[in-house]
Amino acid sequence: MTRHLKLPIGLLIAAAVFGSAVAASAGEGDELLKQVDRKLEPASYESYRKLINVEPDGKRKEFVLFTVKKGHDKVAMLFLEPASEKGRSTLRLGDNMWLYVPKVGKPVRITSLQSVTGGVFNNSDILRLDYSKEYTVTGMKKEGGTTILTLKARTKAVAYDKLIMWVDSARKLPTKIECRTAANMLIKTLYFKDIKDFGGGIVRPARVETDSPLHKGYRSVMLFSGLKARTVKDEVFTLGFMAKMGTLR
Amino acid sequence: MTLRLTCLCLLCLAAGMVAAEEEFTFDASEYEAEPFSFGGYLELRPTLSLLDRCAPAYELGHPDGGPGAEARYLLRAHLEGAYDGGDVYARLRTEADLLGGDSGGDAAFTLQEAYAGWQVNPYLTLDVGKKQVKWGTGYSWSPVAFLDRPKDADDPDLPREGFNMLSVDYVKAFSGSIQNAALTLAAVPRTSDINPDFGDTDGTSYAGRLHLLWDNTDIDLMAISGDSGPVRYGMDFARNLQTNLAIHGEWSTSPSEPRLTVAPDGTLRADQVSANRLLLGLRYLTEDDVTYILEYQHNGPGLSRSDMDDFSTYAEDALEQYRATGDTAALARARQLSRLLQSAQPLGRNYLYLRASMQEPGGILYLTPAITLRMNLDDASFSLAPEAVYTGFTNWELRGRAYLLVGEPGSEFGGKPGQTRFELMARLYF
Repeated sequence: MTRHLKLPIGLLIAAAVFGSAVAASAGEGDELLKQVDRKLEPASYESYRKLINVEPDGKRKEFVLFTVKKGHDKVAMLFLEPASEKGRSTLRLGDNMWLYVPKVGKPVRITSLQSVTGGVFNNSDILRLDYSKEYTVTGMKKEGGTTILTLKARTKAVAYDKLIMWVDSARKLPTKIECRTAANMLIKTLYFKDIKDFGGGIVRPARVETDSPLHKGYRSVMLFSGLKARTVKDEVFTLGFMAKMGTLR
Repeated sequence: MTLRLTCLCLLCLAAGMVAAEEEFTFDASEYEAEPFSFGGYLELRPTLSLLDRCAPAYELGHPDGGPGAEARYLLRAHLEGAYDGGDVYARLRTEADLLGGDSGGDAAFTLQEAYAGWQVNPYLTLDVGKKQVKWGTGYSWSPVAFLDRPKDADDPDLPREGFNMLSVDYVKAFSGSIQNAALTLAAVPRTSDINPDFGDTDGTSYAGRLHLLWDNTDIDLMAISGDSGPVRYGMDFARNLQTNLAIHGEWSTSPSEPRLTVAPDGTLRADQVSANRLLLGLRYLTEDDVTYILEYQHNGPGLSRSDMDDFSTYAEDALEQYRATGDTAALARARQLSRLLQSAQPLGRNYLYLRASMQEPGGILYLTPAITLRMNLDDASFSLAPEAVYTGFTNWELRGRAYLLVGEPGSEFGGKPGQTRFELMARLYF
């Protein structure tokens, strides 16, 4: 009887040990992910970004965006260039996104998989929330100075089901992120480059590039400038304020 | 020698890499905010309409026959100005049109918006002046847009002229299931000089809207009452169900408002009716980047099929009378009544709106082909508009569009004279 119990008890102990190891690894991974978020930008900030879509023949289209973010789930953005897009603004509150076009005159709901700029970046890339808000760490392994995190979307409302994130272990900054479907199909890859000191203790990549097997030959580049901590009122992140985003600059 | 060549090659490669690294530059200081800003666009829009000489509306306009095609062009200058001075701001929007073509020329200038605002504090804003206020979540139609002019059914996103008003907005953000709330109150005067086309009689109307973002759902409750028109109440909602699916809807009701119909003998009737209007819609993005917008519209006081038949009977009689006697009186009245009926938009009771647009098909960036169907469900007539928009040249928007109207002669779309229309549009933004 005792002999018969040995195997199941052994398996239970092994499972418990393995489970706690995985939980510890996931807990450590989630903590690292939070550190990555804060190293990328303060919890509340303003920044300017230039988004460049590059076509296979080298032709470019550029957008300049002013962004404010507050806490885990509030982001607003104003288009400054080109003239055809000037005055457009977007707002994200958690899983909700809206686009305000001056000539249309009212905010319209948009979805995260659309793209307000065209190109490889979609709305969830441009209006990104903290990774730790949208994803939970399900796997972590170390290769030299790099930690590789496997992230799973917390809800179905998140644009990508799965991310593989390569993190510089010393700097706590991502170097590459693969965005994948639940079936592990690669949607796009983000490359973080050109680490720069923005002042105020913010040292992070000033350039994010992306390409996608779904858009062969195309790539999009996001350049950061003027990134600094700033806290604005919650009322800035409301539909009525979208037409007045310019007053924040 | 080989070493020198190798070094030279490496230097060139390094220089090339540096150049490649430097090809992307960006400095936020180049984008300092200016208090005054101006912009707008110039637009050229030529159109060619192939006319159906048998269409009732064509025969009313050309009882003795006329051309089988009509070419027109529109040259438009759309100008916008803004002042952002911290707590105080102002907006200006004008449109100047030059029309020309086979049926003669015309020019028009419209002051679409001119208002000033004061952001009293982060919560409270006051606006005064001419302003376009767009309420509602519908794309093709908004029955709760109590303070706005009807949308152009062919181009619902076009900016429209606002009304003079005084409005107050109070907004507050919360951290619970109600994420934010906003209250808008507006007073809209009407005299022979101010807002002469707002409602039917002089006086002041008062409107209010309460907006809630409640559990990730946009919810609006609105009402309007006053001297210039009937009391109306309404509500709308919008919500993202998934990363690629959003739903929306609107409903408005009026206990009593006039409904215009024309009897077969030409008598104009204005019955007071209880009016209910409803719109339900969804927006869906497929994996192939095709966006579908589907909307059902119910316009309670709209014309039924028999109402349309009654007017058609009268118009045909007026036409026959003119051809038999040369008397233009009945013909002129039929034209006048036709314009009066057409001024109510939408004209009919039940519609289906479907728009499918594909973003960047075949990997061609900035190209968006689309097709739009608008169908009167009561008479099965419809308009079909295929189009393609290209925005690949910085600050240019190029669009080609065709309109095909299909239906029986007495139906809404079958009765219109321009059965097929081709339109090109080029916009240069500055």
